Amino acid sequence: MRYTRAAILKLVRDRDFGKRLAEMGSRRAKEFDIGRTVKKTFEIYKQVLKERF
Amino acid sequence: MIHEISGRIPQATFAFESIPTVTPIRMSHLLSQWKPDILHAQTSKAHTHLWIARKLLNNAPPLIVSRRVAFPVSGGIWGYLKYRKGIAHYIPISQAAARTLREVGVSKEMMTVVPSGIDVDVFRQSRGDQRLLKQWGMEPEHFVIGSVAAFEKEKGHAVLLRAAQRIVSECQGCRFVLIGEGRLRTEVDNAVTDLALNGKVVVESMRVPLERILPLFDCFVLPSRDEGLSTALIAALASGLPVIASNVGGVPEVLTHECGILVQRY
Repeated sequence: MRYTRAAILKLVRDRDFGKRLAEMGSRRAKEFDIGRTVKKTFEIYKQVLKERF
Repeated sequence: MIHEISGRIPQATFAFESIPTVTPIRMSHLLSQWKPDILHAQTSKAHTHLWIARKLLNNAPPLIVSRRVAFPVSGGIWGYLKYRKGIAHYIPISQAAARTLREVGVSKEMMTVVPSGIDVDVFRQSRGDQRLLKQWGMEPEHFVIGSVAAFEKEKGHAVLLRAAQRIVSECQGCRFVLIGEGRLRTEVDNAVTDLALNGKVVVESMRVPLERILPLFDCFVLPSRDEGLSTALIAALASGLPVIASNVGGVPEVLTHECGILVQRY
């Protein structure tokens, strides 16, 4: 509990730190776009069907 | 009941049974009619029911199984059987979820990690539904700490509420918004009252799409005790929020110390 509390208070008191994290986080999120998930899943479907037929 | 989406994608709704009996039979009948090339189970219950349904068919399509959680595979006869035979491929959503499959004997060759994804642009572009702030009783000077997670034990709401009690006494402008659904909703509501947090903590159901909620927060907290990956966490990052999350399960595969605050599991 104390770690969560300390982390929240850090963001409340140091808004610039929060902005920097948010900027980096926003870039990180691009790596989890649904397009990649769909593409990889279809590749697996194709592989499985290839093995079958 | 069968619906049609755009006249092209048929849908059927089934009740998952604690002891699968009728549903697998109904599923097998439907599969005989639809003749799909592939089956993909997205949850453990879907896995169990489709696994049995396939046994009732002569020429069943291959079954792919996604694993979305990072806790150990449950034991028992179903756990033993359904993870050992009759699966064409496994798709764990994180390395943490993959580890749980390896623990029950699934080989590396039988699985491919495919992280869950979100429509990043939808979250990047949304400005949120400002009317919600008013409904929640928020003022412009408030610092809104949000969390979106099912009201289940492993999501750690109890810890967050205890932290909230200390925080609102130290920081008068802090407010919390907890969004979710789940079996522990009443317990969360009661805890808010017991900890004298009424007016400081808002507990809400997911009434509007997530992209209209997240931009209203000043930071996002995920105090889970276990997580397969968490798409809410990814969505919070895409929404441009600073994020705090427990260092559990698949969370560190998304959130690093460079882009968020990882806290030790309590």
